[in-house]
Amino acid sequence: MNYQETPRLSKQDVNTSILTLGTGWTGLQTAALLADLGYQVVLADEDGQVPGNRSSVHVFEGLAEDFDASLDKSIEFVRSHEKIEVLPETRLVALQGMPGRFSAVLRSGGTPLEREVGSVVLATDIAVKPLFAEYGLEPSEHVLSQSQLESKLKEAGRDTTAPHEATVAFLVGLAQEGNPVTMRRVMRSVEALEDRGCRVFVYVDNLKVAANGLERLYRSNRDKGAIYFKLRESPKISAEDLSITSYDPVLGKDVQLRPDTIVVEEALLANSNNTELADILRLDLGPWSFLQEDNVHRLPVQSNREGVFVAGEARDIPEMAEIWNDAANVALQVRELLGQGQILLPEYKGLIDKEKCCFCLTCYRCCPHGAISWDDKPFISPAACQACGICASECPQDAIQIVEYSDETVKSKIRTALKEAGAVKEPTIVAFCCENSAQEAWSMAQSFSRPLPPGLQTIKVPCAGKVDIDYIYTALTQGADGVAVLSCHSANCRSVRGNTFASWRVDLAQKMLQQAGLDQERLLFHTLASNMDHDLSATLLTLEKQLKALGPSPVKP
Amino acid sequence: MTRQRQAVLIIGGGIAGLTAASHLARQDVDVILVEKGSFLGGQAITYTCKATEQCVKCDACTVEKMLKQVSQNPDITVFLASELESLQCNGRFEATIRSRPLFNAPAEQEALASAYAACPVPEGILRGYSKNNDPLYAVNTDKLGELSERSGECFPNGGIDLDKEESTTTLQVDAVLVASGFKPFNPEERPTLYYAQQENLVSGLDLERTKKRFGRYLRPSDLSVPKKVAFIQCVGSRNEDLGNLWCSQVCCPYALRMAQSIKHESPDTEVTVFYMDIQNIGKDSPGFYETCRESLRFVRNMPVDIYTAEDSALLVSHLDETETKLTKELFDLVVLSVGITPNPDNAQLSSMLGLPLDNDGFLSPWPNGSEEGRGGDGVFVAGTATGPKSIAASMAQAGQAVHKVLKYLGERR
Repeated sequence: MNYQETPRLSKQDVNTSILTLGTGWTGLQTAALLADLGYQVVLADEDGQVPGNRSSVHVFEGLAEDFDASLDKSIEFVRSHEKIEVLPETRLVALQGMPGRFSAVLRSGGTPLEREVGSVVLATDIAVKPLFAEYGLEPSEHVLSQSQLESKLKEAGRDTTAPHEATVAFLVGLAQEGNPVTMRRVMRSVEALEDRGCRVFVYVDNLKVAANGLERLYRSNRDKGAIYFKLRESPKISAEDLSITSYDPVLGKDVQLRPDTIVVEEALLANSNNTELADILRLDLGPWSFLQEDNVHRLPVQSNREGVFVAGEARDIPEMAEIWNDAANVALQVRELLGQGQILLPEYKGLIDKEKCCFCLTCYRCCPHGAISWDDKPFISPAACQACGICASECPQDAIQIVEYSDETVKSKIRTALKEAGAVKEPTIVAFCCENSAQEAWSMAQSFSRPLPPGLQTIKVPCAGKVDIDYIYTALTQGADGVAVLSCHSANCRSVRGNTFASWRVDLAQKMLQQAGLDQERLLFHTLASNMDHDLSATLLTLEKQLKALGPSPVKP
Repeated sequence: MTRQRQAVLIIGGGIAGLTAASHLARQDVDVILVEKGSFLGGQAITYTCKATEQCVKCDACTVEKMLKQVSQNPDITVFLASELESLQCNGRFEATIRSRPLFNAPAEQEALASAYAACPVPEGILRGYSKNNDPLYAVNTDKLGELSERSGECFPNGGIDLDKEESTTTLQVDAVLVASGFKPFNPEERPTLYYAQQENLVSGLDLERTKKRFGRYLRPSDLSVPKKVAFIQCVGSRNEDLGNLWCSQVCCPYALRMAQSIKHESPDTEVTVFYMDIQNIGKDSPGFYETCRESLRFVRNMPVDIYTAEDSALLVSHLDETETKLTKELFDLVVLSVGITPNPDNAQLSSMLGLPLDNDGFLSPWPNGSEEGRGGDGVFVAGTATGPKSIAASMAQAGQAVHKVLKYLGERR
């Protein structure tokens, strides 16, 4: 294997077409921005009415005056743009290849299609589900979902002189935690109904006003006469006479209302295709089946795979402004990834020794970034690889080396560090520090003069998942009295599971130490963040104290 | 043909400015970052990690990461302790930047470092909150008078010339991105709280800084671990009397994450949260809120008054949820969840840059309701300068602004 720690950089051609899945607001806006930058866009949606799928777009400020005009404009722009290919009734079946050179297999109606693309954007829209059953109600002339009310309001137009003296009650935030998008819909409707002379009552738990303008809208609702009942649980609702009974703390008794119309809130849910898409794309799903892992390293539109972006309704329940932000961020990220069609890439970030490889595909399975593919043997894409080194440490054949962190390099660093530490009388500690957290915290501790054990030697690793069990043994057999593996907090690993792999290995190593007659307290696994200099200091001083109590390691040379 | 490199001026080195600088520097553009304070990182660099057993997505570490990227990037020119003095449009922009003196020579930094801990002038010498702040120490120019008077005491070994003069720099730039941030609500603006007079009545920011300094959540009076803590939400936000008719969006998230972090550090500590409405916290809000409800006590009412009792404990009077019974309760520490208010510089920036102010005094990103995200031609805005925003949302808006800046620069080539 021709391995060097600093591989050659070379210019490579990449494909500048972008596959965008979903034609809700996010899909439309993203396609428009990308095409505007000169990228070719393949815009696909399972729906048949695309672009122009209106099943969910209205939840984002559907009652705003310019909504329809603005949506029509976006649809027309996308439909007529020469750089945008619109594929209705089309879904993604498979994605092969690597960032800059993906090959997407699609199915359009019954026909398979292939498109070569440089990047993939997931912009699947959200599903809207009315919560009638949750409130013990059934839809009827007098029981409407939020969407049904909005269409009625739109049909009736903005003629505020039309007499409409009905009593309307909204149920919101009592059958679900809710969100500002839902709150804005309610408040806009309340505003419109009050303008028509209706008497409006809103039954709500937590008012979700954490979005621009909502507190003002709430005040305006109330100034116009709307009454908000803030409850902790759903009121008693009778499906027979549509009465709503709630406890009034000021009057100290139950109060009953018989509205003419009850408006039931809707849940905004992740697209039902998300789970399947995550499977196809090897993405880690986020909470509630949204398509972005809940991890600070993914902000704002990244996924665990390089070149696969997640935006707007695909990653959360966004406000309209956040949809615009996400679309622009995707455009920015695509520009940074693909540029004008040529990118500078190292020849490799990790190399697999084909002589040693036994094709067990452990690397393929454990790579959190989907960077490993195989032909006759596995191959690590330099475009996709994040050089975390999890594969190298998991490979049962030791067939993988990562740039700057080959086993030889790391072990020689350990040996050198221990030689330096040899002169110190105190316990010698080798701390393997993830560069994203512990290494930074260590450097922070030095800047702020936090106490550290005098016998401490740190070894920087790209991820705690790179800490091979062999490194731990090397440290212990070459003179360390104790070893610390310091990793990012759970759910904060840039490589998703590096910290999990690291903790498993430490567990295993501790068991083996015990079998070998060594105290397992000599080995520590700890999680922390880059700004936790105090914690790093305290943790290592505690370890040092333990090591002092244990005395020098019996396996020290 | 060689093309003149384009330059972008970013005003504000908080998370939005840092994010924008980092993106722009990848695009063959000269980036000039002007920060009014002595350090980069803005408000957010003072925040601490709130992880429990696991990350709770407070995003504080993201600010560290972004600060490191920017401070190590040679393509970004940083002006610290500096302000935009004027901006002239001449086809491009001519920006004049006024800078207070920095003491960044190694010998000066050494002198400040050795004088920092024992400085007799309170906050006379400032230290950055991150090791990525370079220089790490600064002279507080607001305290120059006091420092000069007592310079012998402050700097017994000399090494600091307090008479250093301000300097001005004039630069040509092609676009301006305003990311001037916010002002945390000052609880003294609600006089009935007696914030300044009560030692163990702190703001969320105060508690962040305590944790940053000592590595633990402690109460100021005796640096003990508080056993009974109250958080009071919406201090300075959603308040008609103050005219602050907005939700600050970040206080429920930071208060509840902090409360969980306190419980993690000291499981026996009881935490009560006084609130009006709990706002969503991160991507798994229902899940996180549920966890909070299991370990924290929620009272949906705002305390009537807070007074210091014996042993520096705070006596909090509040109505119960039915609003019928007045309860008086002692707490070791009361935390005011202060919100986001407009930066006092906004009015001046607004007139200098042609960015409209909105009803609340924030800079409006979308004049006339368009989503163009720019003020006068070539002037853009992002982050909490435009209104309350989390770290994540500030970063997203910065990315969006950079997209628009690049589009604008492309059209001008």
